[in-house]
This record gives sequence, C-alpha cells and structure tokens, in this order.
Amino acid sequence: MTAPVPALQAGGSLRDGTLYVEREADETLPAALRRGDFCFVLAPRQIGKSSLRVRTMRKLVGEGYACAAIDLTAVGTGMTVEQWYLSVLTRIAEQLDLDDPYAFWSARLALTPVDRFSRWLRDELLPRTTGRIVLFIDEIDTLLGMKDFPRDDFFAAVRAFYNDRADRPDFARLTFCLLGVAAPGDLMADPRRTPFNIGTGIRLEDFSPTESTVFRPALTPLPGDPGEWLQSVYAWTSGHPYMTQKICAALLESPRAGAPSDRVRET
Amino acid sequence: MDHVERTRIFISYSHKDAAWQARLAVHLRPLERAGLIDPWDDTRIRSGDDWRAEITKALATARAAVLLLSADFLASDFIHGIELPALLDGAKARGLLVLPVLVGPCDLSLYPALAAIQMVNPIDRPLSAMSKADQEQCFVDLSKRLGEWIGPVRMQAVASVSTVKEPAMNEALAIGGAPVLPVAVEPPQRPGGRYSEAWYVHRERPERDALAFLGGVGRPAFILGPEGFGKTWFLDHLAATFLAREPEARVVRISLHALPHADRATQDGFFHFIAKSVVEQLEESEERLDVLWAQVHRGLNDRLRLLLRDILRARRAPLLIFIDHADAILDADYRNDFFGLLRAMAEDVTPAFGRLRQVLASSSDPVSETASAEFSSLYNLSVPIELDELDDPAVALLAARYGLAWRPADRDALHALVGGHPYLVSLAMYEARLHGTPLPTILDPRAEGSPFRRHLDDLRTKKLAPHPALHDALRRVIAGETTLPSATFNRLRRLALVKQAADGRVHLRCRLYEHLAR
Repeated sequence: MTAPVPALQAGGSLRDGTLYVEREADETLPAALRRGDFCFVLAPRQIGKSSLRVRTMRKLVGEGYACAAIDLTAVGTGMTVEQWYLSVLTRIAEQLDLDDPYAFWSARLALTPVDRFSRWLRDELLPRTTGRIVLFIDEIDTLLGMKDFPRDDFFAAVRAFYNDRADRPDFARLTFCLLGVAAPGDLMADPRRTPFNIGTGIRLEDFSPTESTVFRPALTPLPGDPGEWLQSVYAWTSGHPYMTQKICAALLESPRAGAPSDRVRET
Repeated sequence: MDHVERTRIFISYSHKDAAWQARLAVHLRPLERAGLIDPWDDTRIRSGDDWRAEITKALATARAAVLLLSADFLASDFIHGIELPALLDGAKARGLLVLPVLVGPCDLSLYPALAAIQMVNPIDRPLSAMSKADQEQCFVDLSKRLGEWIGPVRMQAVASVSTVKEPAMNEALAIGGAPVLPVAVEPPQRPGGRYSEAWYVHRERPERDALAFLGGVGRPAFILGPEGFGKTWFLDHLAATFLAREPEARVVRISLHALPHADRATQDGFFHFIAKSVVEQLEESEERLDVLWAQVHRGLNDRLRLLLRDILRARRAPLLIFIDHADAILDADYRNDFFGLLRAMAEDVTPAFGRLRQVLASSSDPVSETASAEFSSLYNLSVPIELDELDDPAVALLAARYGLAWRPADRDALHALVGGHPYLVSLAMYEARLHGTPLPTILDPRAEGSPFRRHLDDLRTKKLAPHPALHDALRRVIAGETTLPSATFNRLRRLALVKQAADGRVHLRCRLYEHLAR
C-alpha cells in the first residue's frame, strides 16, 4: 500500500489535503505575532500569502488566540468610506461571534468613520472578549484602487493601537497583521503616521531547491525519475509557488512520455 | 413511454440461482415501471418458443447485462458456450455495459476477461456471505448504477435507430434487432424555446463533471460555450437531476439577460435584483431583505452577503445558485465587486457558506476576459465545463425526435454546412418538421424556405452591422486569415462564428458563415 499522493493546487488559499511547502515565514510570522508585533507580509502575487495566513491562523487558534481574517477584495471597493469600515467591522464581529455592529455604528453617526472603527474595537471588541486577538487584513493593496479613500487614517488607526499600549494595557491583547502586494511606501507616504516602520516585515520567498523537494512524491506517477522532473520544473519556475503547483498539476493531468525538460516547456 | 427508449437489460444467471434472480427483478422493477429499462430473463420465454432463438435475439438487442456469478453459473454449458462469450464480445465491440454480481464463491481465474470487469460487490464478499441487509444494499447499488447510466444511453438508443450496426457476434448468433421507426416527440421543439426534458440532449461528460462538482465543496463551476450551444438547457437539466437526487436542496436560477435595464444601470439596482431573485425563488420572507436594504450605512456587498448568510444558516441542505449569462455585466462598473463577492463566498469555509454551490454560465472565456480581474480570479478557483458541438449520434437522436427519417448522408450534408452547432442543427430540423421543407432547400441559405436565411440576416443586422470592425475581422477569416487579435477573436467566438483549432489557428465555425462575407 503506497501513501496517497497529495493533490496539487494553484491559486487561492490551499485547501486541506493539498501539498503545502513549509517555508521560513511559516515559523517567523506566528512567532512575531505571539510577541505581539504588528506584522506585515508584503510580497508578490501568488507566492502563497493567503496559504501562509491560513496556516498561521490555524496554529494560533490552536494555541487559544481568537483570530479574524478580512480579505479586502471580498469587502469590495464600490462603496463609501463609511460603508467600507462598517463592512470590515461586520466581518470581524461575525468571525469572533460578537453582535452585529450596525446598532453601535448608527448610534454614532456624528463621529468620523475611522473614529467609529477604533471605538468599536476599543469599546466592543476588547471588553467583550478575553485573551489574545489577531486581526489579519489581507489584500491591503485593494485600498490603492479606491480613489479618495484616506488610507493614511486607516493605517494611523492601526498604529495607534500599538502605540497606546503603554496607556491602555488591554490594547496589548490586540495584534494586527497586514498582507498584500504593495510596497509600504505606496500604501502610506507620511513617515510620522505610518505603522510600517514600527512593525515587523515578514519575507516570503520563492521555494528554494530544497523546499521544492516536497513536490517529489507527488510526481512519482510520471514516467521516469521524479527527481529529473522536479529539476526540469524548477529550472522553468525558479520555485515560484503558483507556477510550480500549476505546472506539476498540468504534467500529472496528462502523464505522456517525453523528456521532462520538453514536456515542462510544452506545458 | 414508447418502446424505442427502453433499454434492454439481459439478466444472465443459472437456474440454480433463481432465487437471486427473483430478488434482482424486484429491485429493478421501479426502473422498469418508469419505462427506462426492459429487463430480459429467460422466464419470458413461453413454451413453444424456440428458446435458443429467443435468447440469442435478446442477447443481440441488449445494451446492458447483469451477471449473477456463482459456481453454478460457471458450470452451465449454455452460459459458458453462448451467453457469456456473446456478452463479453458485446462489451468489447459495442460498449455493452456488463455488471457482474458475485452471488456465491467461484473461481474466476479461467475467465480473465470477466475478472477484469468491476464487480458490483467486492470479489471477496459474495452475496451468500453477506447479511440480508448488505445483500439488499448491493442490489440497491446495482439499480442506482443502472439508473445513472441510463440517462445518456437512452439518447444513444434512439440515435442508433437510423444507424443500427449489427452487433459484433459470430454468425450463428447474429440475427440483428428489428429496425424501429423513429417516434417523434410532440410538440416539436422550437429552437431556443423553453426547457423540456423530452427534448434535452444528454452530454455525458459535462454532466458527470458538473454533478460531481455539485456533490462537493463550494468552488464555482463555469459552464462555457458560445451562444446557441445549450448552456441554459444544460443548467435546467443539471438542476432537475440534482433535485431528483437531493430533494431537500434548493436551486435559485438567475439569468442576467432577464436583468431589467434600470437595475443594470446602478450597483444598488443590480445587487437588489440578485437579492430579490433569491428571496422570491426561495419563497423567503421579504422582511430581512427590506431591513438590510434600509441599512444605508452598510455597503451593498454586505447587504447581499448577510442576506445569503442568514438564509444559508437557516437551512440544512445545499443551496445552488445558477447565474446564467454571467458575462452580461462584464462592462458594468460594479462587476468586480459582484464577482469578488462570489469568490469570497466560494472561499468561505464556514458551515453556512459551505452549503452554497455556485454555477455560472458564460459565453466569454474568463481566461481572456481582462475586463474583470475578479471574474478571472473566480474562474481560477473553478471547475470549467465546456459544452461543445453535438456529435453524430446526438444529431441522429434529434432527427428521430423531430420524426425525420434522415439517412446518414442527410446528416452528413447538414454537418458539412453547420457542423454540430446545436442551435443551427435544431433550426434545420424544426423547419423540416414544421413545413416539410426539403433538406436541399434548408441547406441553401439563399432559398426562401431556408431557416438559415433569416439567421444570417439577424447576425448581419443585429450583431455585425453595429460593429463594422468586427465584421471586417470576420471577412478576413472567411478570406483565409488564421490569426486575429485575441479580443476580436473572443467576441466572434462568443457568437459561435469562429473557433480555434488545436494548433492555434482561427477558423470559421462552419461553412454557413461564409455567406457573411457580404
């Protein structure tokens, strides 16, 4: 009886049972969040950010952290600033099993949206929970596509929860992790208000040749030496996660004969 | 149900196993009563019949066989010498489905061809070694498998009427099935008309893929095919089949072609149209919808998502949302918000959204659709299911349903002009049936009585005249050019005017469209 061959998947956060390659960030990100660091993962597209986020969340939840993940592409862009903040809070509340924030929100219309956002975190989220909370905000570059959205206000609010920990000990229970493809400078210009110079940046690299060997067992259904297949794939992708998953999956789908290097190129 | 569509199932067994055969007959009775199968066993032979000739005739006309394997089965000279070789030949030569059930222990090592066929029950667990309940379950599995197999086969059974091939059996056995005349389905189906199960043409592989997807977790499925290739009917059939399997499930059908102009114009209008369609079709109370839509501080994505979330939370069974003509909003400025929402719901792993299945039908190829990043990334998660042209058996089936006694040469002539384009094929047959128009007239698009004449006029005036550059590109393809800018190619492909060969060259979809040169 041979072990089941793990499935491959390109695109989207990896589902259970698919092949996942452990990288350095799989250690450093959870460690930094446990320390309570404000973290950001800014890396190119399809390099595995969402998968890293899912795995990190699973670890932390296992350790008793309350986690919520907000995908800003899911929040959308076709809305007012007010609707955007409320949408983010609604999702946080939903995931942490708190009351819908609509009543809180509509009772404070005199405040600016970002103030209402911070107030809810301070006056609803923290008092109604115990223990550590990590909020993952994924696809933050979506904000770049929203004209007239005051991004600085949002990042400054995030920074404030970190800065004010000295005066408000309960703020230390709340940690943010931002993920996206943009460079910090594109997201926020003002160095005095930006959180990126106080936070911990997590590097997410392409798979190294050693890390790629995880794919080797998955390639055994192909004719010939799986090592040679792996090398040919690596030569073509340089370890880019999405492309590696995609090419391996395509090869397995039509396991024809042919020299590995040629077949990889055709694929 | 006429006898043409019933599929003969040959039951092969030893008389010593008559008790098993009787039990099997009980389990097959519902399929038989529904007119789907015609199980044949030798108890049908009346005294006085030439029993040998009756059995050979039944063997030749069967499309599936159930074998009740046991030591007695293998010991029977008649089975060994005649039935079994005929059935195994049939499996090899004409795709006869063979379902062996192991009723008692026996040694199959001398029958490699038989051992290679998958048993209904595990080879080490004959029915005689099972509890009564397991035995019954085994027969249930068997009749389920027959039921699932029967859909596509019914189609071929009728299709093969005009192209009956002699079953490949040795001379002594070959007697051939009596030819059966095509029996028209009434009333004749108008191409583009409402779905009717009696007129639906099965597409075995896409159906299997789509049903497998609906049984799993919520990645969206994309049904892809140019206009006129039967996507809407495919969705109708998919819904009916799924509901027959899971009566608790619900299906919401939303066609974006039915989207009122006023609703299409704004994001609010569009999202409200979707929300209202869901509430109405599920017969949910409108109260939640109204409350959410009055919450003006909330974004539209949130309103629609919360509505669906609450509906899903209150249900225990799958909810299918079918969005037909999904590409109709690709030029709207809210397209990314909408498809982004669908993607987020597909990726949502909470139990509520885990009950949601999305099926989108589109004539545009999402890969090449650069207009909407979210449309393509939704597609990246998806199971793409392509609807292609009809093959000859399917065309023959349609001819039979239209009551047309077309010969293979007639179908070849139609194919030479329009290929297997589903809409154009039906158009020709509908005309032939309705007005008795002779085929040569139908196939001459300049003739007054040809339905293609109007079809070409419609294409010219409605689809091409407003876009002279598109028409020019088409003319270049007609003149023999084999490359096109991808955006142009996609627009022409969506209209089923062009297709791409495996080598990447662009060709006209079918010869009929050469008439669009002018």
